Amino acid sequence: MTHPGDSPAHDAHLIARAKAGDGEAFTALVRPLLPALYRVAGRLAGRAAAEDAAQEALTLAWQRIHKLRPETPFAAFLFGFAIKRAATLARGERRRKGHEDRSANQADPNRPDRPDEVMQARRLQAAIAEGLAKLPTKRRDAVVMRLDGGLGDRDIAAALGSTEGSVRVLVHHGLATLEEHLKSLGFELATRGGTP
Amino acid sequence: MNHPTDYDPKTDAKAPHTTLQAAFDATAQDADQAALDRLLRHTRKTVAEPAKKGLGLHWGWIVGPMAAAGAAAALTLATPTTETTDAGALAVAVEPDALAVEVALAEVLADESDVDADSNGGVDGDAMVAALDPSANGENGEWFPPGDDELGDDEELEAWIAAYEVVLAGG
Repeated sequence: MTHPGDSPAHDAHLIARAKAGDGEAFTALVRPLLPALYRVAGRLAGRAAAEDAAQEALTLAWQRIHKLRPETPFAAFLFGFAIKRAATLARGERRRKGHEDRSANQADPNRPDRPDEVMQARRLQAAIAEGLAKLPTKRRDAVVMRLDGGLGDRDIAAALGSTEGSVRVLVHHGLATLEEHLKSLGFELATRGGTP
Repeated sequence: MNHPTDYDPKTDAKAPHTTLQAAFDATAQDADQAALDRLLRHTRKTVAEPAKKGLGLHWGWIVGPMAAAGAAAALTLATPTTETTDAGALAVAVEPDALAVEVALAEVLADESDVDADSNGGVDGDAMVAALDPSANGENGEWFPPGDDELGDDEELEAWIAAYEVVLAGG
């Protein structure tokens, strides 16, 4: 299956058809991105709002497909909506629940069912959420799009309205800060660039 | 997933953050197949509606409602595109029987920072309310539902905005 970004010519053809109103073409563009889109939305908006954020991003991307510039990768276009909608939903969620930890009670049926592993996973999830919340917005979004979305520098730059050079620095510092945060909470991580 | 995630400013080498990546993978909110199917169905339903070339659905901020039953009102909204963080002014049309509002965005558009409180390139509803007409509602731009003396929360505001969805005319 062709993945958006794998074949720019294929993407350009689908995008042109989508801009002309071809819904099947748009569906073909988004389908391979759905898992990553959901992950990014979930990380930024929380499990409860992940699907809403993803759905809203899809709707906005379709309704504004005519605004997609030729030089903007489709994944960047779609994830750009996702990070903004996720941020908005997360803010609403925080106000309603008074900064309740979004990671609380978010047990995943796919996760280990041993109590100690479940607790450890929840601790790690909460620690990551806490660490991400401390990052400046662009740095956080860049890290999440990289680690959860699997996006490269070019796509992240386009999604953030930034440059690839800036993205490399954003990701570098974001990862370093996040690692320090996790280590400060007792999680063992490999030294960056070193052998685990 | 394996990603070239590291940028080493000294060597420009790219080393995979396998451990931090593994931590993210272990704690990711992965969609199960049912959720992915719903997203696909939603996508197919969305694209089945007539494509509004040149138009789009977006929020409508209704600030400081003013009585004008039966009158159509024109709203000017500021909303960022995904390509830039610059706000673009869009003219919208409100249903004739909706509450008419008067919004002056020229001053707001002149200074985006007023409406991008968390600097994420997105226009924040709260900041928009505060910047546009802080005197129309409570202090600090709190929003009161029309005809209601109690402070509205975000849910009420979002629901009201959804009820008065506007179609962007141009932009």
